[in-house]
Amino acid sequence: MLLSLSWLIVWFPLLGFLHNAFAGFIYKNPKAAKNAVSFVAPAVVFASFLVALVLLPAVLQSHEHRAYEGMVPFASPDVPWIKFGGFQVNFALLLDPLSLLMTLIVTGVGGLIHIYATSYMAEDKEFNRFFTYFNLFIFMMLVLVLAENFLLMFVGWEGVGTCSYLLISFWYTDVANAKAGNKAFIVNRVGDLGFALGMMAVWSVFGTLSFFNKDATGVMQLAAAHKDVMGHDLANLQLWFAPAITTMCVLLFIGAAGKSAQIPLFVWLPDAMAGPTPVSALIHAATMVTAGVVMLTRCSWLFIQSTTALQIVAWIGLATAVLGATIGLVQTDIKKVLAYSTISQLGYMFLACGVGNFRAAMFHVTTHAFFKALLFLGSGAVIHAMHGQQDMNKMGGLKTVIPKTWMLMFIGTYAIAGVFPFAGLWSKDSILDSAFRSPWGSGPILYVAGLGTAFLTAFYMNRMMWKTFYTDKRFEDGKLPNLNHSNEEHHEEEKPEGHIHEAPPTMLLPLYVLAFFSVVGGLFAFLFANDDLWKFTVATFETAKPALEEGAALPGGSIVGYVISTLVAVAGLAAAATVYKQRSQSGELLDPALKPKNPVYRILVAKWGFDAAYEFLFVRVGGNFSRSFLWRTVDGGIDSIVTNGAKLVGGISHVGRLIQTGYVRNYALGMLVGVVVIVLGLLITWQSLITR
Amino acid sequence: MVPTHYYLVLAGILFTIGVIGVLVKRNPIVIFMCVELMLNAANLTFVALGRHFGQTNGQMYVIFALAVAAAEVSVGLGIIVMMFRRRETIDIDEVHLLKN
Repeated sequence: MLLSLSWLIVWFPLLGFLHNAFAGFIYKNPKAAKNAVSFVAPAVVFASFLVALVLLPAVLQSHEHRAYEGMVPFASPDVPWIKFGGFQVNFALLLDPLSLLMTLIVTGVGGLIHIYATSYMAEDKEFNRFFTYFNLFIFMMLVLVLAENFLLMFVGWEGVGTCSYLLISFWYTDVANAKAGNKAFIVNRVGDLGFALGMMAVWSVFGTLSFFNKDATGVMQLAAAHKDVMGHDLANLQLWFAPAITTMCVLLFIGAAGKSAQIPLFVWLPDAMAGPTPVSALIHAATMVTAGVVMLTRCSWLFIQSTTALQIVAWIGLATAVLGATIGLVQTDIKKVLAYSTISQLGYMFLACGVGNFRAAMFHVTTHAFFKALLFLGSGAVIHAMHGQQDMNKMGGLKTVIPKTWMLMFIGTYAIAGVFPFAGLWSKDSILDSAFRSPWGSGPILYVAGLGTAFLTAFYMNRMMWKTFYTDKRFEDGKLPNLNHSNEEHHEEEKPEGHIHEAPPTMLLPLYVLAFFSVVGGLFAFLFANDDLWKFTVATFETAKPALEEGAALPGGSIVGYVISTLVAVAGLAAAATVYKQRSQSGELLDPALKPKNPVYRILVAKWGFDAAYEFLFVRVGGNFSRSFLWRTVDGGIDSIVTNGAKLVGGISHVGRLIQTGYVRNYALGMLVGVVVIVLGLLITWQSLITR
Repeated sequence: MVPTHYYLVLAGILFTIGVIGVLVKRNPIVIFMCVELMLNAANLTFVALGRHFGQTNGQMYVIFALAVAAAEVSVGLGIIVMMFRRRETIDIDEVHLLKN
């Protein structure tokens, strides 16, 4: 049976992780170790990709397009991980269209980024450590998407968080990077608490943690049937059932908001750009940050039961989309622009979930993975060419210098802006379309705000293109940084652009593949339009059914919608082009002198005050509270009990110690006195016995 | 025949001398001799009372006690020799490691 080999999908990256971690021991020669790692790391990811691809037809032929397989090699899916009382969690994988789609994205895009990274990180001293974390990340991400139950998903969830932390602070000798890693980890803890509480709520209502299982007693199957695991009918208990569902959905959404950088937990993602660029592309754009969307889609059967929870998801998603796009307008770091763009696009995905069109969210996850990975890797190629310079104010005019990179970035920009026929149009418009037909109302508001964000997206992306590739060269000291680069010995003659060079083919090759899919990714629409494929996996909102079925032929629906979306995107691109063409020399929209006086600019640069508010609320006020109350009073009080207790015992011992002279004869005298007392006592007792 | 209580009084005197010797002397060899004195006082009571009651138990116990005392002395003397080698003194007051 082919499907019984499913465990290979997760085991390949795990073995790759072990190989890379111990490469230094396995190979005598560091060079051999490095060569082996740069082959093994991408190879295991592509091996997983191939296994998933081979298993795809078998899964689709299974009952309800769903297969349950063991995670332990050659074992059944019933191998228990935790078992006590009625609580059981198995080491099981769930293979269905959702998990296989995510597996293919994670291993496909991830594999390309691995190839890119072998070249990008080639000069790094800690090459092996990088790929150790990278393969571990892929393993954890696959556990997350393939998990059969909440708890196993949580393992992957925490695992990718750990890898994210390790990779953000990969260059840990710089304190700023270590701090960014800490920030990501700590902010994610808040979300993880929500996930954990949500998981407990799920268990206390349904009595199980598996999503789906063979006996139709998975949470999603029970939620659809309004039953708990004992078969009790929950619908009769409407009084608490609806609030309970809302509670667990909101808690799970808090978890998703942490991982997927939604308001109010988005602040870690821009800082996460401190990591190497392939990390930003793989973890903080294409895969890990979409985990929240995947989780919501996985729990779609729960979410459609609670309109309140859906509304929260949609409004937060929309607000995040707008906020990310507006902040993206003023960033000068090329990676930060893309980071805020990611936040904004994730907002779109949550908007899609919130209006009950989970398939559109997954469609956008797919296309976004292609074009955002392309943009990040492209920006990595630019940074590589600029020898580590990330500030767009010090770039400009790179189009003639690195034309291949320019072309790839151009495709990525048009794809994310959503110009016909690039991939972004189809997925974004299907989200906007279902937002317009929101099952709980407010459709036109959601649509217009979404469209406005699309305009902003096109604007800030083209702003980035102009600042980087078209405007006049603004290099430091009038030329490019001129570092001693070992690859560049053949560039003997001084050119005006210094030692700038196009990225090597191993870096460009993955970009071509991603660019291809960024162009034609819209063709995947047929996958997401296929009701038969998704009906067992992803729920559809009851009241939204007629509207969704009407649009389901092609998610995104009407031709009019596509035309409007394209026009908005073109308008955004054109606006940016016009504005920056006029200011080609400075590459600045506003005069630097006027910047501090412009209120809009100040709000946007201050990121709407979120960082400052958190700094004040949690770091300053929270810190003072911890220092003065928790530390000095509470901790000090407990400490004083302990220290005073020790002092009391010490005082008693001080007196007791006096009889311990250390001279044997004193002890012997003590013994003698004791014996005399005992003998006298015995004599007196006998005396009294005799006289009685 | 000498009355039994004469022996017991003699044993009591010997035992008391032994105790006082253990408590006041600082030379471990003398202390050992005093301990032997105490043991022999006990042995004397055994033999005396054994004769008094016409039984052999008392004499048997004395044999045991002598054997044990011999073993104990050899160990004790060994300790004293080691103590002298390590510290160049056998003064009992110099050896108070239990304190500090």
